[in-house]
Amino acid sequence: MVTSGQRYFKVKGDTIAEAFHNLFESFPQLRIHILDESDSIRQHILVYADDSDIRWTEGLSTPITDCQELTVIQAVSGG
Amino acid sequence: MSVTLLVGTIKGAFVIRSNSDRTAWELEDLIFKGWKVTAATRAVDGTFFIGTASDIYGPAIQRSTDLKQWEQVKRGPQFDESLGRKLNQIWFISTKGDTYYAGADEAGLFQSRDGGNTWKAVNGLNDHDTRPGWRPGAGGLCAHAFLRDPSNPDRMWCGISAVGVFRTDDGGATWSPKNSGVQVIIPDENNSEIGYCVHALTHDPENPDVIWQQNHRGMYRTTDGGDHWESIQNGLPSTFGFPLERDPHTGSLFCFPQESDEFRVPVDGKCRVYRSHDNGDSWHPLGTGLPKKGFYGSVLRGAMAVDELASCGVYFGTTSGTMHMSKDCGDTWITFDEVFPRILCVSAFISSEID
Repeated sequence: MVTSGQRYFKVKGDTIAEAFHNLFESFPQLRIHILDESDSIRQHILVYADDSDIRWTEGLSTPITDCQELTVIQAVSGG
Repeated sequence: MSVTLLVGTIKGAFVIRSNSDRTAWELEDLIFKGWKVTAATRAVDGTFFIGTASDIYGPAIQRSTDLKQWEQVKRGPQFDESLGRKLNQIWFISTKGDTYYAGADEAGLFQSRDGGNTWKAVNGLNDHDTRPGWRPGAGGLCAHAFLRDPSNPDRMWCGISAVGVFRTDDGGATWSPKNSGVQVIIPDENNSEIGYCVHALTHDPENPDVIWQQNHRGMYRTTDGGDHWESIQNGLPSTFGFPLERDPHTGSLFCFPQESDEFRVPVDGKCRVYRSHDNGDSWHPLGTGLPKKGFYGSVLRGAMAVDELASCGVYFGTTSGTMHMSKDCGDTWITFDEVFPRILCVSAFISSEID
């Protein structure tokens, strides 16, 4: 809803943090749903750079290149 | 006159509408499917506001003019990141004056001066001297109850679970604990003015210093704006409960007693609202049309509403997902055919003011 239904975005940035920052410039209301008060990725959200979970790389500081694909998914697990 | 109810649950809000005499109800819509809907209100200009929350995506305030098309407000309540506080849920949105207020978990009060578009923290309360002693109750550390003096916008009350009632007389710049006469729940070793577990507040808008409080430790009333509280338990089967509502036309009060803080279910398994016609001096059970036995759903603090029509409609939803409606001030009740997920909040709107 905060993106008017748009699900795919082209964004620039040298790191994942920069890419998100640029995304939130266009969709400021999206920010609170991805990042928490400490500017960390929310606990139940996973971010992949191509096929790599950024929790196992350098997190938001992970360097990225122009042609990489970032995927944000909700971690629905447990029961 | 038909009424629209917005029933907020842990899995979305169900919009149900009555026929003109409120004898039959139909499900009209499910909005924010999969999200918690934790609070709802309508501003004087007709704009609806709801609080949404998600274990994954966090809380937000949404607004709509028709209950169908919604937009997230530009900048909702947020704590400054340097405080280390976490915003988990919107507990109320008050739009009765020029300045709107919203209460949240983790305990915080926020205000908007631009019609709900942007919100900022009310630091006079959020950074209160007693805050180091604030401890969460079973429902979290939440600012959930709010009253304002219609004749004096500088005078307001805010209730925080397991902490107590606070009052401001200067528009929110400073707040004072107002819990004298209330039984403490968790004594604070450094400050005897906090540790009081308010569950709900309501008052008489024409005499706003007369306030009623459902507390963890019982039902209370003040006639001096909270300076002194007195116990008003006469006729109630227990001291524990959450919701408390007042019909502005007759002054009738409605609550839903539950069996102790340990069990939190209707006393003896009887689904019964209690009503007072005498400002809380005495309370009497209302059960005509409600389940008479074997009912173990509880009613959360936001899950009861009145509709403010001349013949007062009273509505409540349960943690078992059942909705119950009265069109005659609680004398008789019907139960909605469909069963919802755990119900968190119920708000009533006059339908003719929506269409």
